[in-house]
Amino acid sequence: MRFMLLFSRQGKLRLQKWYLAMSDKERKKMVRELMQVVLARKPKMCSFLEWRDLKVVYKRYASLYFCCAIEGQDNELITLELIHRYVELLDKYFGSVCELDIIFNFEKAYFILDEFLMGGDVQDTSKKSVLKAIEQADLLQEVWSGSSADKNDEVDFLFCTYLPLALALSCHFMGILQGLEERETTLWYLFCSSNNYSDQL
Amino acid sequence: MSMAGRMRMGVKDFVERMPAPIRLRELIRTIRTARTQAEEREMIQKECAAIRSSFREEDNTYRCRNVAKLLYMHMLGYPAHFGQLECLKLIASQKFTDKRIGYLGAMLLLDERQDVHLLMTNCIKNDLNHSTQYVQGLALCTLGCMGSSEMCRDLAGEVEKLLKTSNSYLRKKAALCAVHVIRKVPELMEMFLPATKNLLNEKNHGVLHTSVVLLTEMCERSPDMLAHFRKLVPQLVRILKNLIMSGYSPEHDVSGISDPFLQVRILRLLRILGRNDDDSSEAMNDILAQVATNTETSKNVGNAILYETVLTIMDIKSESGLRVLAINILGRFLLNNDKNIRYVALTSLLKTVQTDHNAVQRHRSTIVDCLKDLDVSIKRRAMELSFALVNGNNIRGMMKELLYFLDSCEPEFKADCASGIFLAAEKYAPSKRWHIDTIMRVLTTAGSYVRDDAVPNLIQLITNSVEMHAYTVQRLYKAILGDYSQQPLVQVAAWCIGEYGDLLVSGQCEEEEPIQVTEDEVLDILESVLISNMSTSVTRGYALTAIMKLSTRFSCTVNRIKKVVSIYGSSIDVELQQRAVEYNALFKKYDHMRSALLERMPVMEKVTTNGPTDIVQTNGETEPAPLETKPPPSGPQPASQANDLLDLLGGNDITPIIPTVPTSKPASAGGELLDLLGDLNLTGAPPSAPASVPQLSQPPFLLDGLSSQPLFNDIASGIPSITAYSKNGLKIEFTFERSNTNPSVTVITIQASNSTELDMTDFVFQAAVPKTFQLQLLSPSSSIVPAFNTGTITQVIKVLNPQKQQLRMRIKLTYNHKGSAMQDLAEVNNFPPQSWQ
Repeated sequence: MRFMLLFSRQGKLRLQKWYLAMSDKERKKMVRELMQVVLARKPKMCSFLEWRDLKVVYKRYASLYFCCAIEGQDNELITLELIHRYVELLDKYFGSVCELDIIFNFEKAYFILDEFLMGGDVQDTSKKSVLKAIEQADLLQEVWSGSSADKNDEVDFLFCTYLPLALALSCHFMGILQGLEERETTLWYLFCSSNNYSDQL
Repeated sequence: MSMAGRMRMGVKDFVERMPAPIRLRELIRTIRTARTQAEEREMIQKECAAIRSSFREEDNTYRCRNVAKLLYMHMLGYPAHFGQLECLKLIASQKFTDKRIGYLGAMLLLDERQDVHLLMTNCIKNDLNHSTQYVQGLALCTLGCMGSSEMCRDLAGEVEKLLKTSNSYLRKKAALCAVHVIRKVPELMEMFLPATKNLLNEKNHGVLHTSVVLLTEMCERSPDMLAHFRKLVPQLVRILKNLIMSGYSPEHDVSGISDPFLQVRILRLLRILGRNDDDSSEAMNDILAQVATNTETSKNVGNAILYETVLTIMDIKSESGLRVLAINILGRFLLNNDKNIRYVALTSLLKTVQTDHNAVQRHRSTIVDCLKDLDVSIKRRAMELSFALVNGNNIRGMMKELLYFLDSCEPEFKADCASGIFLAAEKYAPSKRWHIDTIMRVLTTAGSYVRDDAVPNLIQLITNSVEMHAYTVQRLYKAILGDYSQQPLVQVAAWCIGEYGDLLVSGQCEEEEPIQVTEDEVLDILESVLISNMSTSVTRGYALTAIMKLSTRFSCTVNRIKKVVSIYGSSIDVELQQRAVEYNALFKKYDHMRSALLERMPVMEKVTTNGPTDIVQTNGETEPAPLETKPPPSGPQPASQANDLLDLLGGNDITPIIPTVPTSKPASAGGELLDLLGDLNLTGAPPSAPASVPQLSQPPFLLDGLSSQPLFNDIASGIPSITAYSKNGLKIEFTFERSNTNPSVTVITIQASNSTELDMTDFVFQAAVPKTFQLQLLSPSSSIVPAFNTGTITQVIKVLNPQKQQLRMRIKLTYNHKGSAMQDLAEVNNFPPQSWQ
């Protein structure tokens, strides 16, 4: 795999992971171009496209596009599974993940990705062990920092609890209205739980 | 106190009094409230200023938070390079949070092509030996994601050590890190060989999966490793078997299939190990059959495994029964409701169509149906596959579908589809008339999308089908009546009307209902082409030349033609004006030569171009000056005269014919003339530099009859030769020399040899190069390639490559073998860099 991108339906980048050396400028250009191509595709089209010399595999989950650029000999179908696995991991970690979780906790999304993939290849095929590693590392973060005072920041708590909920609700209903939500393939639930992970930043 | 000092104090006071910087989530929230881009930019600028000053103050407490904020802004597209060094400081910190964010920042902000990244080599080294596995994990992950080759060299030893630990968390990461190291520095591969010994005995799926990835990488990069690891086939088969047989394991199952990721990876490694190896292929036959028949296909995962299995079966030396099974799986895929599955089916059928042609043919109708799919990805694949399936038996039916597709498809497909149809028609046309009809259909439906060479190709085809002239000209005349929008069609039509106008007027067409046209009506049409604002300059040129030609083919309209020609003598289009002036002169001064000059074009035997390229046009008006400095060429040059004639009459797009058959004397003489001029041309010596001219005009060229030994001595004798073509017993090798006098000239000597038991006769080698190059083909040493490799034909190609671009060449081979005419096209892309750099 060459790179992985997460972006919203409005064309806002939410996560980018590059497995090949490139200048920032080139990356920006590629991201912009690829987003245009993918966003222009209709919902009923297949998840693959050839773009430059790469095969692009993408899948939409609610308002987010997960997009992987793979090489010639890579298996497109298993790449879809890989994307799905990442979404599952996010979902387990955040507890019914939504786009806002990824926006506000982008660094966590990166940590999970780095625990799941490395250099573009799957590190571990067990969901459990990936999540365990993340949890332990999170724990380590707290132990070393020695304080959990930040955790009880009330404003943050309130915000993270209710605002995503409200927004997720509205996103969800809009999704239903536009007939874009497929119950079976999406993992987005109605309710966002309160964030149960540490926040020292 | 100085001003600066006071300022510094001020800042310090300010910082001391300043509350803690805004938190990351707070910042994100604030930025998200921005209503406009400008507002967002302003917020970010403000925050960046605060972060910068915090960085300047070497504030350790909040560095982590600040870098995290920078990463968010970086994602929004704002510059964040000033955080690079801060990332390195975070990595060096003792706090895990700092390290985590620091490594994340390094992966996002640092570029391995900037030296800054080397500063963290030492930190990574320390962390690889850290006592906490999660710190080691971070270091491995960073190295495996963005380590440059220098870093990989320095740290490979540490990675190898971790690959041998018993800690599976570190081992899996080390394995993937080793993959990265090998990709960056292949010669370090050997180092990891001892550690691979026990990798497959591991029970942990993470380690197993990453080990298979590592083994795959090593096998793909080195034939030695591939041979070494072949012995692992039984073990891999066993692992795969256990996976299939094992019961439900919640940890690794994906919708009822146990560890599809691992299965796919093992299948891929098996593919590499079994390729070109009978024993290994044999050893995996059973398990492949088992996977192919037992995998549950109701979900995407199952199909992913099946897809990988099919690829493996097609690539290794598998039994024929297994291959049929594989193709049938793809056939089933084609009928699947899931578009993704259909797409991969088409992709893989395209890969196998060469080897299992008949098996793929069985699914032809399904494939053709995919042309009507709404998805462009699928359409493109279906189009490519449809072209691959065209053969002599189904050409009529397939072309009907493809022409319909051409008519209805998106513009992005038209060019490829049109050239595909041209190629297929050339190869399998059941009759000349069908061929001409097909091309004309393409020109009428997608005329503006065809490649430039379509027009001369069609003209050549028409010229050569003598019995079809009347029919063709009539069809073309009807096709452009009132519609001049499709330029290539109009050009062909104009050329044909000019050439066969007499047949059109006499109305003697057997194939179709003849039409009654008068000479004036024909001229009306050509004149309106000249006037139409849809016509390009080239098209007008065609039309004017056509009108001129009609002056000898029509009887009672010569005066009208004279008038038209003289009008265009003052055209603002220089090209058109020149033509008109020349034709005018033909009427006035050289009227006695007119009928001879405008005679019908001879049948064109061979054209040296067959691609979107031009052969260097050395005669004609482009290079008159060097011509005069040369000794006059001896003997008549009918070929060259013919070229002039062509140039004059044939419109812009017709390239002169450079015959390459050595047996015809005049042609060879013409070739030498070209040679002579070409050479001067190639060396690029301007006429004002006479010093080089005498040297070049030395006679060896003229003396040396076939000029197979060129003037060039090789300056780079070390250029390796390549095999450009090897098929059906015919092998063509290229050897290279570079000119002393002009390094942008590459001299390629081709050697054709024949390993079959019969001679190949009438052998003609033709070549074409992209427009940025110029190419010159000298005469071959013979036209017979003797059997049993008992001799070779040599032929010299000179390529002028002023921009030193990578060489690419398309070659066309025609010869008679075992009583049948053979023709083949090939593309040569593997030129050694020394031959063009």
